[in-house]
Amino acid sequence: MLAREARSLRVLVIEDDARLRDEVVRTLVAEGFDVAAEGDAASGLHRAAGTPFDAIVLDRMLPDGADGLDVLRRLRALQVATPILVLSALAAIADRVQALEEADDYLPKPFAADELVARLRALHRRAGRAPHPHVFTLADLEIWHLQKAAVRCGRPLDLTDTEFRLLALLAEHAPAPVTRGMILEQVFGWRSGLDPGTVVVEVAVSRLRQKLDKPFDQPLVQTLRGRGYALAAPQRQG
Amino acid sequence: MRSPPRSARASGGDAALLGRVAVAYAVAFALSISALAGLAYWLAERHARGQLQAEVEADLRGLSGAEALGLNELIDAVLEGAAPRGAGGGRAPPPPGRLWLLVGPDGACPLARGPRAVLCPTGSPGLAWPAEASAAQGWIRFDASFGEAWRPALGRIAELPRTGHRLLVARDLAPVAALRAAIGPPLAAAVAIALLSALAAGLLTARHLMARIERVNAFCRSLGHTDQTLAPRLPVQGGDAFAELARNLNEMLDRIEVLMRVATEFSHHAAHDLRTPLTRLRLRLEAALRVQRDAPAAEAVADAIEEADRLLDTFARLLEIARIEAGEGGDEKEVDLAAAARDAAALLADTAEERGVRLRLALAPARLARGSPAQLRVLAANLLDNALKFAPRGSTVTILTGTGPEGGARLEVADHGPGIPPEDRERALRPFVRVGRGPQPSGSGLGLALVRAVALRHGLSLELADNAPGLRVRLDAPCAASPPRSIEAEAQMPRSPRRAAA
Repeated sequence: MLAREARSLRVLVIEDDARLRDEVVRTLVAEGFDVAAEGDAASGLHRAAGTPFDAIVLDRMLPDGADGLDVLRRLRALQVATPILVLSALAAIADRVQALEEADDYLPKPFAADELVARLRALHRRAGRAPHPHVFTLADLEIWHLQKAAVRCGRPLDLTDTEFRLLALLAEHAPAPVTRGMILEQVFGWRSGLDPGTVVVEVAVSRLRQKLDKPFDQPLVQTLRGRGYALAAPQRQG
Repeated sequence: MRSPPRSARASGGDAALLGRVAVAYAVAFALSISALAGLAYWLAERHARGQLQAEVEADLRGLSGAEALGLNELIDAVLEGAAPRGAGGGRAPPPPGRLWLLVGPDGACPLARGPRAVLCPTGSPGLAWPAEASAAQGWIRFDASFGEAWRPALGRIAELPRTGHRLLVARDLAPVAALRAAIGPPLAAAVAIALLSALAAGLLTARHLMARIERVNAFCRSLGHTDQTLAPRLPVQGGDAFAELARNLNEMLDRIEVLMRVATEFSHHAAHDLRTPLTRLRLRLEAALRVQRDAPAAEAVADAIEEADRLLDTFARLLEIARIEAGEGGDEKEVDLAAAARDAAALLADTAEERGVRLRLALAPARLARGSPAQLRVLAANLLDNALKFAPRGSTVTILTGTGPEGGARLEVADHGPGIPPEDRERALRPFVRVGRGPQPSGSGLGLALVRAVALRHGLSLELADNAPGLRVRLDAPCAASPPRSIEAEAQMPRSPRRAAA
């Protein structure tokens, strides 16, 4: 873990909209990534094939009618196995299904910076086949992944499957926030892209809080407005 | 391209139409053939009769000339005409079918000699002067004996002014009758044969036409749901009305295709051109939020992000509804509504528990031949979420899948909330419409519109009904074997009796 974090993640961004590209680069640099960027299919392909990256962020709609998925296929044909996250303004269910069949991950526009960062980290983790650490610890919370158990202050928490999956997801990304979309997808397996328009995420978080935070004086599940939820020990104010 | 099986009602209607066309064709054809045969019959008979009449008139003229020479010359001429003197001086038998009769002013036959069969008006059957016959009558018909049989004869009477005698010249009508007998039955047979062949030809023609119409119909039915594309075109053969119809339909399809492409491109461009700047906006707001130390300002930025997300959610739903209504599918496979219902129930189980609502699942297999699992999952989740929003604490929401009375797949979600009054049910399915169901929980107002779009896309009829109390939403596939229908299927509210025959 430490070895991987010792150098920053090298990410290539292939996105035709210059201002969005700058924004993404700025966001990723702020997260400590080592970022390169290209604006069209040909130079993106050239750069991706010639330089090793840990992950590629690839827009589906590129100039001159090029489809990002074609770039992806050509990279795969060139034996470039770098994990690729496809960005798309086409958020229809069908587009998402098609993209997910080929890409390693898919993020519809508009996306949250936190989600892009979290997904890139997850992609890289998966590619490196680094397993979850068996035990995650935050303040007085311990999460035992193999046993699917969580313990706080030495007391085991009686969590349902859903609650444990949510807690594990929050822990995986902690202290970075996890968005509603990520929770829907990774806790509930809701991959169709269309938010069912429900309050399932809010309900799940509230139920987790009931068991994880309510009996204790220090809340660990934080709501970051406009960003999502994060697992973090509250900062001592002064 | 294979046409879907046609309903019994449609083919019954076709058979009736086929029969009507064939019979009308046969009747018209038979009428004209009969008229033609009748004309031929009449002309032939008139010709034969005219010939007899010409002979009679020629005889009368000759005999009148003989009378001018004297009575004996007349009698000789009559005798000669009736039975010409042979070479040996004896008289030959009279030519058949010829009848001359001469009577004096006293009504007696002036001829004591000669073949009586020819000349004497009385004394032998068949040779009586026709009752009350006179020259003024012109042509007369009467029965006369020719040899052994009585037969109709046609003749004329002449008054001989010099001697006061009257002369009847007639001809046997047997040749005319024979002609009639000779041409009548064959003509009738010809008419009968023509009638039958007209009927057969009518049926064949009608069937041929119906087959060509059916090809067009099958083509139209196949569009939109067999391969989800408007690419196929009707073959244009020859230059008849069907070729014209095919050309017109093809041109119409061309125009529709262009319109659909424009609409699709528009939605893609709108999606791209709005989403990309909105992504920039969101990233900037997030960056601002991360560095913001001032709490009220951070609140404002977070509010802005949440508003942007709501805007985007609505926008995404509208686009998705438009895409589904345009028949854009993607993942098409055999699907089970029970799986969609189970996924939706799993997603919302905790929500139901939080709200104190029991979920009752009665899930039997309810398969559709083709459908999008993702869309059906969204449909089921929306229905269930909607039911949970309105269900009172302590009540039960039921999700049921299985087969309807007609064997088609069925999905039903029922709650015991305030329900929707009948007059508002149609409106409730439109985008952004919220109908009075008590206090309005939050939501985009697009849930039921999305449900409706997915239902139509899968050929499911959508019915909102009273659950006494509450709302029961029921989706029914028309029948087990039917292919999914496209947007031409209308939601039925409530289901009208005329169904699915169109």
